[in-house]
Amino acid sequence: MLVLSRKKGQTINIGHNIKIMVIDIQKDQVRIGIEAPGDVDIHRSEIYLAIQKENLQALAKQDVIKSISGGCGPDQSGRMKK
Amino acid sequence: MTEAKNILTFKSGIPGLPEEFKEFKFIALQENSAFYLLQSVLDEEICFILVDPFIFFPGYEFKLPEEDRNKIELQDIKDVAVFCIVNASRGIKEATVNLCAPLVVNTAKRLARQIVLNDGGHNLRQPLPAAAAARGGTACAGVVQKERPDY
Repeated sequence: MLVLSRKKGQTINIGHNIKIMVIDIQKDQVRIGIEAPGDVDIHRSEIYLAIQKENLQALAKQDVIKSISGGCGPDQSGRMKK
Repeated sequence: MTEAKNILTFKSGIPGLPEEFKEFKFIALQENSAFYLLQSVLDEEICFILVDPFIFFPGYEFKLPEEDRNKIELQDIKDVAVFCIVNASRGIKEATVNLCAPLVVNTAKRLARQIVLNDGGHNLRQPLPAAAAARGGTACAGVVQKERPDY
C-alpha cells in the first residue's frame, strides 16, 4: 500500500480523473472529499463488504424458490411452469 | 398463465457477484404475488428472490441519489421501480429483507442498479413480516400474501 502524508486542504490525484482531498481533521476522524467519474462507485468499505456478503448469502436455493412459488418455479429456460 | 419475463441489465454488476453477471431475467412468481425472481442469464443457479418492499413495509422510503438516478438513465421518476433482495438462507420462516441496498429499476430502459443507502436508517436484515406470520402455518409466501395481515 502506498502511504502518503497530507495536511488539511491538500489533495491526491489517482490517475487522470480521480482526486481525493482531506477536507477536515478532528481528533481521530478525517473528512475526505472524492471527485471521480460517474462510472466509479464509491462506498464506505464496511457497508459495501456487508452488502457483498449479504447478497452472496441471499442467493436462493431451488427448494426455497419452489416453496415460495407454490411449486411452479422456473424451469431450465427460466420460464414459469405449472 | 402467469408468465412475465424481462431482462434487466445491471451495468455495474451486483456487489459480491463476478463482474460479468450483468444481465438477469426478472420473473414474476405468480399473479398478484409480492415476490419475484432475479435469475442470471449466464447461470440459472445464480438467483435472488426479490420482494416489492412497499407491500410489507408501507413506510419504506429513501431519496434516490442523483448519481444513482443518472446511472440508470432515469428521466422520469414514474419509470422507477424498487425491489429488495430476500435472504431466505435460514429458511423461508426466518427470511429477511435487505432494505439497506434496494434494487432500483428504470422500467423504460430496463436498466437496474443495487444502490447503497448510507443514511443508517435502513436495515440490512429486516425480518419479513409475512414470514413471521407464516410461522405455525405452512410457510408458503404466495398464500400468506393473499391474506396479508394489517401492520
